[in-house]
Amino acid sequence: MRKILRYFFIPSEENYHRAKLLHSDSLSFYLLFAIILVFIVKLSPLSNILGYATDITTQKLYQLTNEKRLQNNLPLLIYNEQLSKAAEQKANDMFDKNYWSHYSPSGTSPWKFLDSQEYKYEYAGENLAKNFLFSNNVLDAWMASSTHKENILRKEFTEVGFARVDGLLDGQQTTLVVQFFGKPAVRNLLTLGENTIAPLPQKTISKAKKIIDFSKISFNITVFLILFISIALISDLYIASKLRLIRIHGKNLAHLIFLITMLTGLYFFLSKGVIL
Amino acid sequence: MNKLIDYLILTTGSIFLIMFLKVFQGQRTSSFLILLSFVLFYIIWAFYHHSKDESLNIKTMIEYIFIGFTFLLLLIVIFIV
Repeated sequence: MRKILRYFFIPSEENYHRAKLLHSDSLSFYLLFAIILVFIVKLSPLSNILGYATDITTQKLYQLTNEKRLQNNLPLLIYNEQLSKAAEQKANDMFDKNYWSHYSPSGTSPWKFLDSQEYKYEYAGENLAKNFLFSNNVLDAWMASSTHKENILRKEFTEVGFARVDGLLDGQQTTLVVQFFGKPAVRNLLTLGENTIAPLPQKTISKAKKIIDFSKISFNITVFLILFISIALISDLYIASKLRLIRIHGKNLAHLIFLITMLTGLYFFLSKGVIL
Repeated sequence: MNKLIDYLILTTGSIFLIMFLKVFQGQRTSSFLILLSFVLFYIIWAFYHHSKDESLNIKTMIEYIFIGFTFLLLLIVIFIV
């Protein structure tokens, strides 16, 4: 095992004084692997592709929202289909009229969408998010904002609905998340207790399970590969400078700067979502 | 000293990339184009640095191209495809 690790990470005679992981054939393997991955994702009918790569699902958002309430000793929210339909309408309205706001340019309030679904409420609330890659990042951002957190943890709310819709906003591919909270004025779920969670419709669950999340797989592969190659570059650089080896190849330090920049870029992509 | 300036140029490019990503926060296509530009900058930098260093050869350039495009493709899968 040590011999294998040495061969792959430490420059020695066996690997022609360059860590095997940094040889041209290894680098061409990484590139080939990336090309194959792109083709698999492009051709796969099971991927979540449509120009919008995100693993956000209403199921996960619902689960995370209730986890936050549970952590704060609050009653769990009941999933409401009318609220979800209103949320979907709101997201589509934002795409159709090209705006990113609680109120439309013509002054339409979010509550109009609840009315159109004939959802009679005593209390209602709305959280918005756009361009997040993972569901937990959406919840983290909402919880970091006092007003959004207030909605999530408001004890008056008893029901919740979500929509995640992809489209073009300002000419950019955008993923919008709309979360509607409500407390119905007339209780129509009398059979359910205050703390009972209504299960998500089966259709939504099976749809979410069918999707292969290539963006998450690729994210994990990218982070792993960056760390893997960085370790090889650092060990190769250290040993080569210690042994004063003179070799003709790319500069390890330059590669390291490039990889660190890519990792930072990846972080910016992940945390770049906006909430409202 | 020359080498230091070269690495400063590369680091400055990296800082600009991060600044641009921040400015174009939330715009997927623009962010991707910024990343693509950085990969091309990295390859051009390698050409400039190694030609100055008199160590320019095809094998060295292939190393930069392979690393640059591997990560560009992986980022495409994450954000664009």
